[in-house]
Amino acid sequence: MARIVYAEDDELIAEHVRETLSEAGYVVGIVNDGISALQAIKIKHPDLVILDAEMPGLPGPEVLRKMRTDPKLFDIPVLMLTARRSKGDEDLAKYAGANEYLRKPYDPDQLVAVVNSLVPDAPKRRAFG
Amino acid sequence: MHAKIPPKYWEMAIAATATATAVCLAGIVGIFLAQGPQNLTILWPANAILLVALLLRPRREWAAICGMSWIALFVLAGTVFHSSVTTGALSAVNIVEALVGAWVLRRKHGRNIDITRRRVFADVFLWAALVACLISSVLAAPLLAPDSADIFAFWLSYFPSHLLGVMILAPLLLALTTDRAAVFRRRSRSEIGLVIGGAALASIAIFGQSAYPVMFLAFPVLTFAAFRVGMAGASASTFVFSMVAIWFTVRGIGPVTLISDVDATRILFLQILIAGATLSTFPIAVAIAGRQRVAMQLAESEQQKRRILAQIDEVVFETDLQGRWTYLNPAWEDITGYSREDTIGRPWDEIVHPEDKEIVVDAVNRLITSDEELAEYNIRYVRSEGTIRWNASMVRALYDEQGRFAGVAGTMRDDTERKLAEEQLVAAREAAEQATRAKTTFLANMSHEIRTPMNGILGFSELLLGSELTGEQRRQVQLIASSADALLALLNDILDISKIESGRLDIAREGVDIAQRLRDCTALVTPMAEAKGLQVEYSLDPEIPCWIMGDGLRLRQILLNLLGNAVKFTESGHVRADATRREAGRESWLDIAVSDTGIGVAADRQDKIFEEFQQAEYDTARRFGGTGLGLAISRRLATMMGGTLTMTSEIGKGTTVTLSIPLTAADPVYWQEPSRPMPKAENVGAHVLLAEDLDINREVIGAMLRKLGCSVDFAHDGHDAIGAVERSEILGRPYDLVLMDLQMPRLGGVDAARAIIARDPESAPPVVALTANIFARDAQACRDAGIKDILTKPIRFDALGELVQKWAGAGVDAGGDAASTVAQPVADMAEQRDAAAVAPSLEERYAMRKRDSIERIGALIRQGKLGEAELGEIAALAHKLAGSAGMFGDADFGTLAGDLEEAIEATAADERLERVESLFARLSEAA
Repeated sequence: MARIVYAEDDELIAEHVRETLSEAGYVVGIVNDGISALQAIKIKHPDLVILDAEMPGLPGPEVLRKMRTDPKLFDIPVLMLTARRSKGDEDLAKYAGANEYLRKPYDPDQLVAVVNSLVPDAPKRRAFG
Repeated sequence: MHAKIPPKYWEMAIAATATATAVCLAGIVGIFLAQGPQNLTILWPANAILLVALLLRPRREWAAICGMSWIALFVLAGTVFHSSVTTGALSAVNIVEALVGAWVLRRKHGRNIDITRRRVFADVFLWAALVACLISSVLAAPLLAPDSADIFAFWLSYFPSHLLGVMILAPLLLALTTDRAAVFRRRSRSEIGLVIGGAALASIAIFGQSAYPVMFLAFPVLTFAAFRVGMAGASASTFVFSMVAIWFTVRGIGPVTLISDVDATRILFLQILIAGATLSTFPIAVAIAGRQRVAMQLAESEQQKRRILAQIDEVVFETDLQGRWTYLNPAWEDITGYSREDTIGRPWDEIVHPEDKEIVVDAVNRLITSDEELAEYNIRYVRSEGTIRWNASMVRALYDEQGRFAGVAGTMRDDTERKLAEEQLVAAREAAEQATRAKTTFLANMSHEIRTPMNGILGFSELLLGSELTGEQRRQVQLIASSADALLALLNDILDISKIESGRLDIAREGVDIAQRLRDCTALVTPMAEAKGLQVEYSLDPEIPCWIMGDGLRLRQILLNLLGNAVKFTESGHVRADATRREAGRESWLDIAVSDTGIGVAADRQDKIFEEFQQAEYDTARRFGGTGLGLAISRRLATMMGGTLTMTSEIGKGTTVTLSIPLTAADPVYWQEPSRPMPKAENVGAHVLLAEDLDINREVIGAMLRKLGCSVDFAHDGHDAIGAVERSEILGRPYDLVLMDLQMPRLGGVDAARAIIARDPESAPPVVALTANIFARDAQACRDAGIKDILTKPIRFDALGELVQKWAGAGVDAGGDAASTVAQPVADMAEQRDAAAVAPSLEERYAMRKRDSIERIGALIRQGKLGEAELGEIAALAHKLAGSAGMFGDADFGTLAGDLEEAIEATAADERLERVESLFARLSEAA
């Protein structure tokens, strides 16, 4: 079973997503902020990381950047969830090296599809920096 | 009628008479010395006497003195001149001469005529002599000259004679009569007498012969007199000299006769000679007097300095540039026991304690090499009898005229008492700290010692209750368990009070969901209340923010205490908890009033009830149980939170206890609610390692685990545990969970956990700590070591079941939860397990969020002013709604919420309120 670490500070959204993905057969661990996300990622070495772009402490793009500069972590695929309206988040996500991004609120089916696409493949590497 | 004549009139009369008499006598002398056709004296002494008299007496007497003197002069002059007018006028002119001088001198120097002062002497010479005589001679000459042809000749005789009269006699008389002269009188009178005698002899020798023109030899003699005996002697010598010279010359004897045969010329020459003598001696005398005055002042100040230095109890010292003492004041002897004579010239370091010498050297170096002007230091020194004492010194550098370092000067003070006091203080503080440490250790140990057997009692009771028992047996076991519970509660209370008193209890500041707390606490007491037929209700003021800053755990403790008391002491009726918001000035307060319709508390017991071990009635404990610590602890906690706990009550009617704490809104905190309802723990089937050193505990917990369907291996300490984990992996049967007691011999739980995790961080089994202590720093140590969770002893069966389920349960990696609890404050674990067992579904929670958010935003808008904080809160709430609405089928609502959020960020300030209000209106409609 594929493991996912999901960083999201809104607990309702987190639970909802977890339910959706659990039904699709994934095991989802939830953290509420960027720092815990990094800890969990380092310990668990999940198959996929989902990051909310805005989180207290370390926001998504920062977590992403740290992952990409760590040799042990940089090949883990990352899905970035961005808030409804800001275009800036998209750019940041691409720039920081996210494999995919989705806008909130997202269609659950679409979410599952994206996750499916990301997990079994060899990760598409992005230039980081 | 006899009026008593006041003394000053007597004085005046005496002064006037005496002066007049003296003037008369002097006049006779003067006339006697007259020579020449004009019958004018060579030297007229009378006016000097009048002048001095005027200078010595107060001005109010001047009229009388002048009057009497005029009469005297008139009589005298009458013997020489025959015209009354002439004699009258001449006498008057003489009076004027004296008056001019007296008046000027009085104005310039007051009554303080010290002839030895330069200025006074100059004024006497200038005004009383020169100017005064000039005036009088100019006035007198016409009176004396029979016809105008001789006026100048008369003037030439008159002027010098009067001038000399004043110059010779006035200083002498002033020197003899003014106070300052007393100083010079101290010189042996014999010396003065000798000098004057010498001058007289010399004068006689010089002027008693007519063969040799040696009159100038007088000068050295007179100058010598001035040097030796000051003004009095000088003026006396000059006077004698003058008199002798005149006497002889008038008789046609003396070297002056060699100068000329003409009387007038001789007289003139004589006068010049005398003037010369005066001018060469008096200034010297004045200068010397001035110098002597300075010397005296110096001596006086030197005396004063010596007195001061002798009196102070600090040592004042100076050293030369090699550090040898050059000056020490008397205090040195008291402080060091060495005499000053012995010490002067010796080097400073003989007296300084060897270990402290460097301090002094450094200090002096600093003075020399840097800009520092003052160096201070504390060193030890050794007294003469060998005792070591402390001293505090302040030192400055001394420099010579070339600016080179020439030594140091400073003070030093015995500092031993202060030093001792300081050391005692340090020792006392350390002793106090040690006592506190001992107390803390004791607390920790006692906690452990008591909880361990408690674990046994409770554990086995629970196991028994889970087995087949008869009704009677069941009841008895329940009693055992509840007794143990009560004991545990007491222990916790005592530990709390101890912690509070020794200041080891910290009040946390975190976000607290106050509504949730109220709900939980009332829910907990409801069963007990309903059993007694009581109603339990609570209410929450909508003005209270959802999340407030506070200590959730302690708030819960206080609320449970108050609610528990309320239920306990109420036989019928209801128990309520009402939370309200109160504004006091600029501060907001949260008041939670727990009220009941119970037995009440008597007025005089209401205060005492908050003290430890007090209850309302002396038999309350017997009737209702309880230790009496609860309220004491609650009040302390309330105070530590910055608030108060107060009570109002009426016997028979009921009681209300109100907790008031400062109210600050907090950011919402999302603690993990278990998303699945916690099932009854059954058949988890995990493979568990239990590391526990005490056999009772091993048995109890092991039994519980087996009941849960787990297979259990045991380890006796940390080393054992590490070994067991290794073995399990080799055997291909890794553990699903490791339960690690923290207090074990040889290797403790924290270190063992760390080692286990370090071996294989990625696939190490989750380690959960079992401990009796839950100090905050222990929790931190666990977290740092990688421990996932903490279970406090005594272990309850349900708690254990949940834990095992969570960390080792189905869904291979409760890894999801693992990550999510890493960030959570471990202290919350305890209360989580007490939380309601059934969680609302996601949809319900979304609905709740929607409702609460709308309510809150509405409240904020209604209160009128929308500052930064309020707008921030509204934006945050709107953001959350916007983000989540879509997932729960509420997309349109979400869009509106998003608009609202944007509006707050984007609109200009003046339009903002309106826009926000209108958007919110639409939002609440759509809700």
